[in-house]
Amino acid sequence: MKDILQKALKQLKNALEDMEKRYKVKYYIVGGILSNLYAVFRLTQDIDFVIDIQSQNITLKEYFTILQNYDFIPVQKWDKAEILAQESNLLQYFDKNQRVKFDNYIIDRNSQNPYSRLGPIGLKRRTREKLFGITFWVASKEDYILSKLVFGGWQDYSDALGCWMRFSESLDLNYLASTSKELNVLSQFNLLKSGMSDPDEYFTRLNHQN
Amino acid sequence: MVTIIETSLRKFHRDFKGKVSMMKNTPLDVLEQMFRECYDESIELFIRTEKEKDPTASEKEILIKLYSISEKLKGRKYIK
Repeated sequence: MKDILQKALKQLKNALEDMEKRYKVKYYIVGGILSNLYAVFRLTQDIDFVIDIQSQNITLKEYFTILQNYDFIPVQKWDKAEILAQESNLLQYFDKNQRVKFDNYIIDRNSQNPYSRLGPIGLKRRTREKLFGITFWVASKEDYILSKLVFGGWQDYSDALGCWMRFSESLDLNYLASTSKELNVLSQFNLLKSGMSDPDEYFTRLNHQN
Repeated sequence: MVTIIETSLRKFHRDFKGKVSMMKNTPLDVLEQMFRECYDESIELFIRTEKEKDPTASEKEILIKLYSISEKLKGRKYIK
């Protein structure tokens, strides 16, 4: 038993890049695993990623058929997972050894909920990075920060702040300002930018503003 | 019609209970191995990305930075 996460990620990468090649379906990694790359250490047993089948006119049903070629194990049966995915745009399955869970978010450009709006925004600026020695498309640092500000919990702000502390000098501030406005998190971004280094103080001031 | 999922979307995306339940159902040796992998990868990534920013920084300086950021971010939680 060795390299559990790496083996699962290898399976995921092979599947995603094969789908991108065959069906032109783009993807990018998001979520907690990126904290290791952009902020500081995070334990995780699941890998989140976003996939865009919509722009290729691939239906959920067709996507399910495609997915079943890659040895993933569904959390529920595939037919039940399909019903849930239709409502939530989220599909969950395990790697072939059933150790690591994949949370597969499906881009829905028609949805106006703040979390779904992040999907197509992040796709435009996805970037290549290595995780566990494997090169993936991942959300950019800026989009990582924006997603954390939208989710808005204590840990989320802490992650955004960790990224800010490490990379503020190289971040695209104009993009962050305009997109945070678009996502209704401009005041959160302004607080982050103000140099505040204490998550508690951030929430105190944010609540005071509201 | 507003569905249950839409009303508690954030909770749904976070799925804290699901994550903990998954850990409970994972054998101890597997969890230990995965956590070790996370630690190793995280430290390696931090050193690599900081070296890319500043090739002259020593590994000791980089690890002090990691520790310093972790300390700033950990621990306290805002209580309303």
